[in-house]
Amino acid sequence: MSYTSLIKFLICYAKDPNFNPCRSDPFNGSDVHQHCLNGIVCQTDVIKGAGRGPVPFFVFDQIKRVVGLKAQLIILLIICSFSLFAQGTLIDKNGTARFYSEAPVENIEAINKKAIGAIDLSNGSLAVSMLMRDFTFEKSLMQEHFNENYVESDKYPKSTFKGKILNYDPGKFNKPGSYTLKVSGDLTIHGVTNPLETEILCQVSNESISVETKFIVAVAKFKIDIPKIVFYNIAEEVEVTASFNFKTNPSK
Amino acid sequence: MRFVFSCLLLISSVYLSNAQDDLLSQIDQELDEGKVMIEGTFKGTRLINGHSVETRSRKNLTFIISHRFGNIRGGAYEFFGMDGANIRLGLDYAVTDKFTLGIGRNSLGKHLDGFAKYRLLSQSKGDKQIPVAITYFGSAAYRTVRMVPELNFQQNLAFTNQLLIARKISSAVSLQLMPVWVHYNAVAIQENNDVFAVGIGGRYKIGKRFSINAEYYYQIQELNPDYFNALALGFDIDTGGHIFQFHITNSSAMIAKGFVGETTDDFFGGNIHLGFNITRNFQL
Repeated sequence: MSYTSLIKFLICYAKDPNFNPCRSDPFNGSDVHQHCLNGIVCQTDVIKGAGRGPVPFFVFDQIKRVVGLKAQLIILLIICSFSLFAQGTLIDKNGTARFYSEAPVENIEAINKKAIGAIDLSNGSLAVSMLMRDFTFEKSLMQEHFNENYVESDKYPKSTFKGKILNYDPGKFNKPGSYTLKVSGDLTIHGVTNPLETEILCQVSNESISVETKFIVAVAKFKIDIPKIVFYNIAEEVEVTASFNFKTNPSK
Repeated sequence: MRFVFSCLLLISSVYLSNAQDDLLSQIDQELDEGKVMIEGTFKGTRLINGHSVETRSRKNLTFIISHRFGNIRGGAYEFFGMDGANIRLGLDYAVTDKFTLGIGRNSLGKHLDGFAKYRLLSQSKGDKQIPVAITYFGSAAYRTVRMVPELNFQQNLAFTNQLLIARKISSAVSLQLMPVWVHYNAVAIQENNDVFAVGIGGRYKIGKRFSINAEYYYQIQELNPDYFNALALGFDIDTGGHIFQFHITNSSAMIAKGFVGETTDDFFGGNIHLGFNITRNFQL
């Protein structure tokens, strides 16, 4: 049965639940089915309808078969999108985190381009997670020492942040513009969690929300010890910057 | 069809329940470690006397100053051997992350040596698991000390081929197996031109920057007369750009040709030498 005939059928069914396609074709006037006007179920149609006898069953079956297919798909899509975006959650998997420390002997800089950030627009909560091994240094030996001796990437592979935008106004992210917001949360590095309060700069456009932040991390607070013997002269405080770009319209 | 739908529904409902977790655990699952290369099997490119599996990454220049002092039995008069020192000055250059070339000058036998080191395999875990790291080491040493009777150029050459097979068992413990073949172009009567040995060594990290090392080379064929297997015990201190390695060993030589086949002191007879390697690394 084609869509058009199904629609025709449904219209007729809505008008008269006792309507039987075998009896007549109201759109084409008289046709091949004229012979079963007496209310006898048309044999040809029974065969065509693959054994569907009484009309109501036939109808529901068709609805299930054709409309139901779509409905199920739609329900599915809604559920899927709910799980990812329903709460207004935006995720950026290619965020950037960078740290920099100035020291008399040499400055140390490293960048991680695989940081994952997420923002939940419904309640203003934020989350960031990254692998420490993804930090790259200009000097390879420095990178090895960073992983082996300082942050112990084997034992503590991740760094995370979990927080909330203070005094969050959900409407703000609907209007393009640039906003500076206060964020409070917990920063975990080297298996040690410390509270962190910082400001984020959000730039909202029609396509995306970009978030940037900069804060100072006191290395000792995260139990990353810098021995006196080290010649690198590593600074006790490290400046961290991070930036994320959340696409508000992922299809584009 | 219906089955597929119910499966999809199930999957999406799982997603839904995830979404109800907090944001962090949601994105945490997205982080994929993938293939993780195991780095830092050893602190230095030298275990003690011999090489470790480590190669420095591209454009690293390493300057190594090594000393092996005289016999500790010289006592206070010889300042426990420190009055007489063998010195090797060496430069290693990492051409690529896997390929290193090096040269050195040794006071013992006035040897000049050159080596090539190539990383064949790196240990990794995660998506792709490789249990060991393997590096090939090949070197040639040229003795320039004047001999009586005089030897020609060829006769003063010796060659080393070695495989370094290492596994970082834990962040603290690494072990290395190192089969080695040394060929001497000219030897004294009764000595073998070819020496085959199996070295075994390892390190145990006590602190993040401090490890204890051991290394032993066992000769497979009968030892040449008056020669011994080389044993060395020591510790590493890693200070960032420098690595300090202090040790005791029965070998005076700092190149494979010397310590594998020409060690003349008996460790257990108390003929021990103090020694050190100091490494300074430059990234060019």
